[in-house]
Amino acid sequence: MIKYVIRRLMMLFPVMVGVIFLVFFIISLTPGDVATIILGDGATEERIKDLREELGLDDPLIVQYGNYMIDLVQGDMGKSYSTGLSVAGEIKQRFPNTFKLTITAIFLSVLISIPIGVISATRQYSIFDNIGMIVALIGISMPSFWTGLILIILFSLKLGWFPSGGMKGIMSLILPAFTLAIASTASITRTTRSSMLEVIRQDYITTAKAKGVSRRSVINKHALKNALIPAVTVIGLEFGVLLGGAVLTETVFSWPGIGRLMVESIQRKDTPMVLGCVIVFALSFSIVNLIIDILYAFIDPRIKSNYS
Amino acid sequence: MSDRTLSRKMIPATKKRSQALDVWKRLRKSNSAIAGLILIFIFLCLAVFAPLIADYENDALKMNIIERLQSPGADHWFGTDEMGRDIFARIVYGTRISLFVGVISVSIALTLGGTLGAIAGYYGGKIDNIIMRTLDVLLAIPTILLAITIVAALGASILNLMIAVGISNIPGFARVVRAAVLSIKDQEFIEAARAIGSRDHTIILKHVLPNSMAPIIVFATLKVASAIMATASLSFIGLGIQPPTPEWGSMLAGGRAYIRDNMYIVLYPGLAIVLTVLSLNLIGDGLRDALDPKLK
Amino acid sequence: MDYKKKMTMLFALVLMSLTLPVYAGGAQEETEMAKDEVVVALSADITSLDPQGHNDTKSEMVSFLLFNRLFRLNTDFEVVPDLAESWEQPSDTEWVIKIKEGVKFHDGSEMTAEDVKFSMDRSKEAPKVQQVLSEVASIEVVDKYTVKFTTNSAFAPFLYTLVHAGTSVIPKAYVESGDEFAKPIGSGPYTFVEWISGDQVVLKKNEAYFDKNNMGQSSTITFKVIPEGTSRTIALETGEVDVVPELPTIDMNVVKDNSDLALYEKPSTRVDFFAMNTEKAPFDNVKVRQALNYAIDKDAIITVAIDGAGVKAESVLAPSFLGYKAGPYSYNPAKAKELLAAAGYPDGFEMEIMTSGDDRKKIAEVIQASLMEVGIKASIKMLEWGTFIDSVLRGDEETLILGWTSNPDPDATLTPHWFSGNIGGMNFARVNDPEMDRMLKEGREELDLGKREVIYNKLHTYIMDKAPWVPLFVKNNIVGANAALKGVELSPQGLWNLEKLHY
Repeated sequence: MIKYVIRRLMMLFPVMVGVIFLVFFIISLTPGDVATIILGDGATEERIKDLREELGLDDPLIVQYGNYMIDLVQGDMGKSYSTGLSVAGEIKQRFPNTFKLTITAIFLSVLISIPIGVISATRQYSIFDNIGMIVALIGISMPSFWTGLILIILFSLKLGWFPSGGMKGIMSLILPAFTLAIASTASITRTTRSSMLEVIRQDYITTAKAKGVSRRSVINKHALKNALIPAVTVIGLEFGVLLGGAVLTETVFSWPGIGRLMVESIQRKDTPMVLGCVIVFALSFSIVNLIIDILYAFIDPRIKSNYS
Repeated sequence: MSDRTLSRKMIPATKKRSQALDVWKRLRKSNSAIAGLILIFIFLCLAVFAPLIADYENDALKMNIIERLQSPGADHWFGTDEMGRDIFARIVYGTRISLFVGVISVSIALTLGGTLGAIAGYYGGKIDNIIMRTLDVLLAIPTILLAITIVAALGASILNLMIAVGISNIPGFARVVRAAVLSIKDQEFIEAARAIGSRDHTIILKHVLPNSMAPIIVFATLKVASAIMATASLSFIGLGIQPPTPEWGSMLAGGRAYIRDNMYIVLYPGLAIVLTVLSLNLIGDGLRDALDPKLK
Repeated sequence: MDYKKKMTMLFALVLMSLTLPVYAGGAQEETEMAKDEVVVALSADITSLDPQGHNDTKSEMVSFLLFNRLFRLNTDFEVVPDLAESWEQPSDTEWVIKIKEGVKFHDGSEMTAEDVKFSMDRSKEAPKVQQVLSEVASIEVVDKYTVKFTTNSAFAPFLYTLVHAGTSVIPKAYVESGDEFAKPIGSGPYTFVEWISGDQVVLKKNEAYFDKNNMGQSSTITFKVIPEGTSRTIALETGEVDVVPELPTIDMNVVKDNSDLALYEKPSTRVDFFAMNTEKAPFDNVKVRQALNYAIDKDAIITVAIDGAGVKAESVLAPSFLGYKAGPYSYNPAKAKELLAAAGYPDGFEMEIMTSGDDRKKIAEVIQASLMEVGIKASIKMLEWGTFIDSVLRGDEETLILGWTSNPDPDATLTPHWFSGNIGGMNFARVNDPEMDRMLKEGREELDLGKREVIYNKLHTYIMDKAPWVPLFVKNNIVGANAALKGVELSPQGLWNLEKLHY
């Protein structure tokens, strides 16, 4: 088990090296000269030239990449081009907010979709099954900024139940987390439903039923725990989708997270900040998937044996 | 020689036809999938027959300040936007753009990702490892963030949007195609093809891929839906398709300031997106169930 | 294997990871201090707490409360003393300024001429604001409370440069302590409490402020970042914020119709314009440029892009400026077609409009539609701001849309925009016209106001005749506030004197 975890962790390194290079390369394609952007309209040629030299912008891309990696290995993510603030400091402030939002969203979405999935499976082809699935699908079919605005108008402006935005207490978390959760409800519901169906048909469930165990207890005691395994994997995958979705939700709900920071930084061509954000996104996504895999092995020991 | 060619074609073809028939039979039972098919058919008709329904220049593009911000009515079924353009006409023409963007970006992802996935799955071993580890890099960045970064770098245009959404979906397709190829590459008819000396790329293209199409089609259908959503999201961030092109996402993003007083400006393009994406999802789901008979 | 136990543990883990941070957030006390705090909505986060580390209006609002400058602008954009006690001009290039005695920084130390000199020297070196004092050759300390500025040449609008946030006086000792503005120390009416990146900046009233007449009025001012326009208005309506300095024009009626809210409106000095790159065909042809001046429907732009909150621009400056004269154009597509035909483009041509930002995108769309009427096919190229400015400085554009907020003296806008030496800089139309250069020089050197006015009159006429720009509109600043909020003041730049806001 430990060997497996270590091997998975080791595999993160080449991926991160690749991610950083890829993003470095893409940003370098962005038109516009960073020095001019930093200095603004009134800058003299000379100052621009000095700054370019200072930032090492005239070096070949591979050299810039190398320098960045050397700093990074020493724990230095550099300073933002546009604010001069430490990238690590900004991310330390912002990332917990996004994490909080995403985790809450996952939780909400599990809370909504597992019951729907289970009931849909036990009453396959019933009206509940059909409507439940369609509702879940409508959820992923709505652009999140659109949903977000509608929720704000309805629940903050008209009903006054929740704040319209910002980050102040648990109430302000609900609307953005719900907006975000809507998007991943469908796939978790779907997975729960189909794995539940699969389990229900297995022999031991039939046996249990035949023995006269009540329907409810069959589902709770036997079917559910086995059906949840695939659902857990999907939750891990959805984490990435939610991290991405946070970009829009954070803007609509004025949530000071890292997604907004990244988009703003892309627009300012603030390479160190964009890279910082990407590293954090990629790392947390990979780590969550790693955790899910470990949990998976924990729940179902058969899987563990495959890896060791 | 002629016998061989015959048999080579015969094996997968019969299998495919009967399989397709089976799938269709099962798909037909699903009300929601049929609803999705009907909806998509309607949208396709709108896209194809747009010029018969509305005049592109005059209704969808031309500014008409006097008639701006009109509520839905007999003249303008869905009302007019802030420039006095007919929202219905713009949505009808927008169908073309949205479906086009969705399909093309998925085709890009399918072609590139599919090729890589097929090679990885077919050859396995080192090649598989190299390809999949490289794609892990793309996979580690959330799709929409990768698309944003690429569009920001290339500049916002229809083409670049499709490229960005396409590239960011490559790893997903590679995985699906690889899995599909793996599941059939050791089956008898592939062995047979190999035994009669077919070349690898012939085997992959003629035998492996056609027979592993099912999960790929499901995945592609769902991805067309998410590509349409991604385009809308990019518009919201200001990286959408350039005006005055009537694209749903940019109509939604551009009209969102009017959501308070003129709700219909964002309501109808929003509904268009929801319905299209929903119907694609319904079809995808229906297909998935139809292809996986053990669930039914 | 007890699956159930494991699943329960799993869920407990998820729950714990969820509840811990949430309740930490919930524990932040909800201050219900009977409206002694004012919350201001910002459309974007500030970039820096260092007054010399930014050059944008959001950061400026915060800087103005934390720091003082030697001079400040009042709501009519006149220069009034801030830290300056008195000043004199021993020669054309020398300015001797005495600061008030006994001004205390937030840490209790006294401000001296050393701090002033240090700040100005630092400003000249700071990347973001180095251009502000570019006319200053040197700064000397005369005595404990007096400094002397020496300018490169005679420079009449010198005092105007000292109102810029980049010339804020910062304590030398603090900067040298190496805190890097994590907890900035200034001398202003408010002191720093916290900056939560992307969320809010909180300031507290400085009870020991030196200027008893301009003390802060409410005990705290919080700047909340709300990027989405609709969300800003809703936050105002729900009472989450008290004032929205950049109210979306589309929401003016919502605020007007709500008796709990008040709408403030004041003309700005910002001219939004459409500039043609006169180095590129067909815009090197004056008839084409004039045709576009007739072809573009400015009323439509004002309606669509700013919901009527502004007036048509008829020349390259706002009407309130010295020597302003309106140009001869009105909306006339027929005349535009005639001119296009005369220029050899009876069937129009294809061109590209380059711009940045959602508001300008709307302007571009209306222009695009206007031009379609006269047979010109315009495509719109939207760029990110940084990329846009960079392309414009290089002259990549065919045409562009931009806005320009002017300083009170006309020369401060006219020379950057029209002097041939500023091609590659602010001379957006890339005009190289010796006659224009001559008139600009004449205007800058003329000290007699009446004569200067005549010169600028001629210059306006000349520029509009050459038509390198289509001036579009002068927008009003729109501020939405809680109706009970007092002390809401606007300058041509927008919400002003924030220290006066209170309930």
